[in-house]
Formats: sequence, C-alpha cells, structure tokens
Amino acid sequence: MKKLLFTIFILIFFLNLVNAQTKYEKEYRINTEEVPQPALEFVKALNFTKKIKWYKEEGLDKISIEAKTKHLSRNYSIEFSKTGVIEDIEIKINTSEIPTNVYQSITQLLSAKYQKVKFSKIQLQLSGDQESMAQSINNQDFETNELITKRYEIELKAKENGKFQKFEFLFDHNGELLSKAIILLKNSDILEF
Amino acid sequence: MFMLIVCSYHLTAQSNFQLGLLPVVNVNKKLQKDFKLNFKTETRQIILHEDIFELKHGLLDFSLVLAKKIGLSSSLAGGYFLRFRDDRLIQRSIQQFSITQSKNFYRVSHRFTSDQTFSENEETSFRLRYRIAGQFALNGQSVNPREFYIKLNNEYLNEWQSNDHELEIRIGVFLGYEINDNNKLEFGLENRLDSFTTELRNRAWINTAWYVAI
Repeated sequence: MKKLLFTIFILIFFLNLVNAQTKYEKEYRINTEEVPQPALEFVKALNFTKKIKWYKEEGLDKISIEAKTKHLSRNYSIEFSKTGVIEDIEIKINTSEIPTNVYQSITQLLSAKYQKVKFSKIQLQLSGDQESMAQSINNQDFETNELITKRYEIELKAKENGKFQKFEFLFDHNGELLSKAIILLKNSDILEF
Repeated sequence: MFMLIVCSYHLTAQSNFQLGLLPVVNVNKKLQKDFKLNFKTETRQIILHEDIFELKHGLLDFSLVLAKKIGLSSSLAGGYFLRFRDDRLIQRSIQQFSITQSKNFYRVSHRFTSDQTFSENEETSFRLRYRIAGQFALNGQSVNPREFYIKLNNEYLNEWQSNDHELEIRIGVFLGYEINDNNKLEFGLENRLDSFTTELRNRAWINTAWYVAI
C-alpha cells in the first residue's frame, strides 16, 4: 500500500513538473549598485526623503527596474526600462482623490458591466518627458500640470462569466477606458488546506 | 530547526513531550465554476515518546474536500476524512470557511472549521477550529517561482466529547520553496499543545509537505 502510494506521488510530481506553466515572472530586490545610472540620477533629482527600495522585474519578454518609496504619506512606484529610461510614475491614491466627473464616468462603465465591484488598489499613473515629470513631482502639481499625461490604473474584484476574478483597468484622465486585463491570482492552497 | 525542537522539549515535562515526523502530500484539482477538490494524505512517524527514542508508525490519514469559491478571496468547503490507527478506522466529516487576503509583501488566511469525529466504541466528538496562516516572501513583494518563503500557522481547536472540553493550540513555522505556482515544498516544525487543565502535553512534528495543483 505504502509503495503504491509512493509510486503514485513520484509519478504526479514529475508529470506535474513537465506540464508546469511556462509563464515566468519574477520581482526581486536589488542593490543600488545594480541600478542603471540614468534611473539613479532621475530619483536623485526628486526631493524624496524616505528610503528608496529598488526592484528588478523579469517577465518573459521584458525586464524593468522599479523604485518604490513613500513620499508625503503616499506610496510611489517609479518604473524604468532595463537601461534606466523612465517609463511611468505610479502614485497610490483613494477614490476621493479622483476628480468627481472622472470617477462618475468610471463607475458608470463598471456598473454597466458588473453587478458588484470592489476596488482593491487605485494608482494615478503619470507619464511624459523626464524633466516635466521630475518637476511636477517636486512641485506636487501633477494634478494640474498639462505636460503630464494622467491615467488611472484600478485593480478591482468582480464576477465575470460566473467566475470571481481580479482585473486591472486603465482609464484616461477623462475616465475613458483604455485597457482591461485579468490579473492571474496566485494559488492559495498552502494557506487554505 | 534544532533550536526550535530544544525549546519545544523544555516547554513541558519531558515525559509529556513527543517528537515525530509528519510527511504530508496535498493535491489540489481546480474544477469548473469555481469548484476545487483537495486530497490530502499524511502519516505520523513517532521518534521520541515518553523519553524513549524509537521510530514507530503512528497513523495514516486521508481526506477529500470539495471547496467552492463564494467570493474572490473566500471559499466554503466540505469533506470527509479517514484515519487508520493500529487496527481502528476513525472517520470525520469536515465543514470549512476560509478567507485569504493579499497584502503588500505577505498573504494571510483565516480558516474556520467544524468537524465531527466518529469511531467505534467512542462518543462522537465535535470540534470548532480557527486557524490564521501567513505566507511571507523572502525576496521581493510576492513569492515567485524558484523563491523561498516563510509560512507561520497558529490554530486553536476546541473539542467537545460527552461532557468534556479540550483545547489544543498549534503553532507552526515552515520554510517553503516555490518550484512553480503549482508545486510548493515546505519543511518546518509544528507544535501541538493540549491538556492545559491537567498536565500540559506537547507534541512536536517535523513537517515536510508537498503541495501540488494538477
């Protein structure tokens, strides 16, 4: 009986490894020495006072560098290409920080799509040329700065096609939908059983 | 690990300390419409009991649980459990509600379970259990393939049998390794403390677990 069980488990183990997903995404901490110089210089030009944590994100077709910190009680995440060219800045915000007309447009679209929606994370996404972005962060005028492109990235939970799922929606500064993606949830068996 | 076992050994009177091995295989299969099937088997091998070192087979467990997602983070489950101890068969029905939340660099799960245990010549026992479990990434903000993590468990089990009530507390510390999202290996120590009103009993299990999703 024990031998049979053992053989079955070994078989499952190897078959499962062979069939394992090929999708590979990894984010890990890196030291300042490993950060490309342009990224270091950009962050240095910002008047952040708190510790900067650097991460490298490896996807199947993309490698990016990310700086995370807290500034004026807000969480900042600055994404760079692997060579250190700035891509965007994301600032964690609350629903109350989205302009009323934009928020209404977003909720109208979502309530037409889903019965029940729960927001789990909202980020204001800023992009533009390097100099304008640095200036608007230092002056904290990104809400009104016309040189900066503002988008809202919203992570939410909703039921679609009979399944509970997590999504990432991207809206422009008027609340128009730009993109939607399903967030693959991590397997939680080790915590449930 | 050695230090944890030594601390555990000194926690109770030495005669009330038991040390053993607890290998676990936990197989999960996703089904349609947010259903999931969990099959778990574990065996207990006792190493130290009443101050005597002797490798002895303790028992063999099998359980099969069907779970249904009732929210993005919560699920309801029910199942059946079989235990083979010596020549006895012990059976148990299980009902479970769990909720799992993802935070910045960790995930936490609250599990509420009730179960009823049936065995020959014994009164049915009823248990109410609560477990909090956390998974902490050791590198980056979430656990990725080929990375290690720490898992901490704390469970409180209330058991009623006839007119008796017993409390058991379980505390577990595990080092895990994610081979990929469908395969995780864990190694650690779980302490199970009970008999608080009489003479405290401490059972420490060196736990190795393989979680596989097929």
